Amino acid sequence: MEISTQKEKNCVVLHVNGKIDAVTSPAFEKDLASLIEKGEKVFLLDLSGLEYISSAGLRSILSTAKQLKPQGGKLLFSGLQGPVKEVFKISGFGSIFQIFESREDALKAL
Amino acid sequence: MQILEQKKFPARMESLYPSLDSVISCAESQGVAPGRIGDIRLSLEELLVNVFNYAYEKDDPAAEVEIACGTSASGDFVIEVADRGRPFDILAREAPLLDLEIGDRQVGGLGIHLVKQLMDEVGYERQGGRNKVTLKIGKQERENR
Repeated sequence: MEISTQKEKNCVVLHVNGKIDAVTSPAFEKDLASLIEKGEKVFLLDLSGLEYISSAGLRSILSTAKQLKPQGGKLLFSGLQGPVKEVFKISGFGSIFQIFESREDALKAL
Repeated sequence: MQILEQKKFPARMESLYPSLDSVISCAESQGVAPGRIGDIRLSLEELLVNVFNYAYEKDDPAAEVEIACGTSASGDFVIEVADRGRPFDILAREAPLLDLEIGDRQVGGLGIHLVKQLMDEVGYERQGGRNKVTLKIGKQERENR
């Protein structure tokens, strides 16, 4: 897994490549936690380069979202591909999160 | 089922990639379609991580997981995952509530739900102090993908 970060307006865009699984999800969650600690509240996870996510990754996403909610923060998603899109659908994440086709669409909606 | 491969691994996270690789290469050798290999990887990760994290006492040196793969009489690919840890019937777990909003959603329970959705058949038996989960999956791509 590789994560690159970029700031757009009031939003941190994280481009996540590779796999978020039981081995890599702690690092993923830690990256998000350290950004939250620095005061960031709005995140766009650009998953166009993500090929795989397991429930360990979903758990990291959900617990981060739960942490952000009382602070008025949120997580947005864009660019979901094949298996990742399907896992979001099966787990109901497609209906509890805002998901956009592209990074541009997501940033426009902010 | 006709067993093609059977391996034991220490029940800890370091075994995750070697055990996934072993089953995936077995599935590939049986001509399982690429999309279904993806389903297998995810389902197997979910089962193994449950065993690694919950089946045994922490640091139990005898903590082991046994994985077998093969082909059923009807031509499906079959994976068996067995451990000697505490009894855990994955079929008895209730499905998580999926339509709750973020604040109310439970963080756990999704892994087993994914396994049940992605596999064609999931079986569980407890016998002789062993949990055994059996996954069955067709070798062709799913039509609803």
